[in-house]
Amino acid sequence: MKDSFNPSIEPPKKTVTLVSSDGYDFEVEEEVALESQVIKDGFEDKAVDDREYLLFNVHSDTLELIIKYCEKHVSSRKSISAAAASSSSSNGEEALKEWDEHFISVDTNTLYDILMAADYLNIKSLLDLAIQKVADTIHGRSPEQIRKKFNIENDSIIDPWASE
Amino acid sequence: MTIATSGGVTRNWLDVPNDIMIIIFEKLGAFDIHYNAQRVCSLWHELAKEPQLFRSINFRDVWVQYKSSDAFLSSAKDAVARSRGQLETLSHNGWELDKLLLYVADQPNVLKHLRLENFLNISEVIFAETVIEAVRKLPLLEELELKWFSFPPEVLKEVGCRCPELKCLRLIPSQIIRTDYYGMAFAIAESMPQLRQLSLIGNGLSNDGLKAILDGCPHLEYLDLRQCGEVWFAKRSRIKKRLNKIKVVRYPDEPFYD
Repeated sequence: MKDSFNPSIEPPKKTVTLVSSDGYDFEVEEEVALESQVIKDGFEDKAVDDREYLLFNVHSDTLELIIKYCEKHVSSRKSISAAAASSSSSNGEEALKEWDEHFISVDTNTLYDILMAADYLNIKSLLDLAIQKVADTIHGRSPEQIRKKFNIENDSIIDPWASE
Repeated sequence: MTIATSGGVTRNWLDVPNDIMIIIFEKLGAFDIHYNAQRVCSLWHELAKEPQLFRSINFRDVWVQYKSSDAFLSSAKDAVARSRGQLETLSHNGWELDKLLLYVADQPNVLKHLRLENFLNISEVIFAETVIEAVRKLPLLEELELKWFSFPPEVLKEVGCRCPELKCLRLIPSQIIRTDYYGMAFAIAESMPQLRQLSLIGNGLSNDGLKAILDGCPHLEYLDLRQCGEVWFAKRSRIKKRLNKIKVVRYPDEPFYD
């Protein structure tokens, strides 16, 4: 954290502090934090020196990933609109899609963490990405394979197929 | 229950909020939910009762996974019943096509999209009777696809007359049974004036049939004539001028990939 007694000549930096559930501070640019609808709602009402968010449900490992995702999307959006403005050809959206796909190719535990964090922070595009990944992971697997993959116990008393 | 933890984080997939889980199931599709996901645990079994998950049911190619046609039919009926009258889209190309279609038509439904493929070569007579009987109870149908069928004119007329909302028709003719293309074209022209999209890939209709369709279906925006070997027209012919007025036309000589 910066020293608040330092007589700074810079204008106040537009940053926000995110605190993970395990107590780590992450200082991120305002526009990156605003990717979260939860942070965006009521952001203007918060005092500039009080822009700190305690994210009780997000572990630092996950928060790091979430910030990486938001930073990428903020910067990609800028370069895509810059390319559009100069009417130069750009495969920005294609490239971002590829980046997303790579980003979400994680183990089932990490996928769970990202899904829950995206829901908690209400980051729509990331939630959609994680939801699709979960669906793709379930797709085509037998009940037993799904249980194994997601570590779910079979507590089902009624198996509608048992009589077959 | 075994739960994976790391750095104090507890991961239990059953903790995923129900509304999120429903969206995941929606992406998964009715067949996968019904055949696999609902059997995973009691919570997922409960979630899989949500009618909205069964608004669109696609049994195309997956029916082979069932042990028998009886097992398929009872399972398929159960999936349809779960939609609780919200079924909008049905696709099938396998076992018990006729029985399933009649069951769907007998249930409360808001069916708009119906795609049937006579992959198992059920008799033309049964197919024709089934479609005629079913469309009488499918007044909201907007899109109909029939594949590997001979399209008797009386079937198409019944469809046209019972389904006033029909906007999109796709017909792919049987390779085995001879189709009365002349009768087919005139039945479409006579009974389906509201058509917007018509796909007649590989169809044997003639110029006369095509003219009749252009007269009878003035609102066409999309017309697919790929692989129609019997229609032809010179560059400045009348029929070509009329085709030019349609937004999208795929011509007989255009390449075809399915």
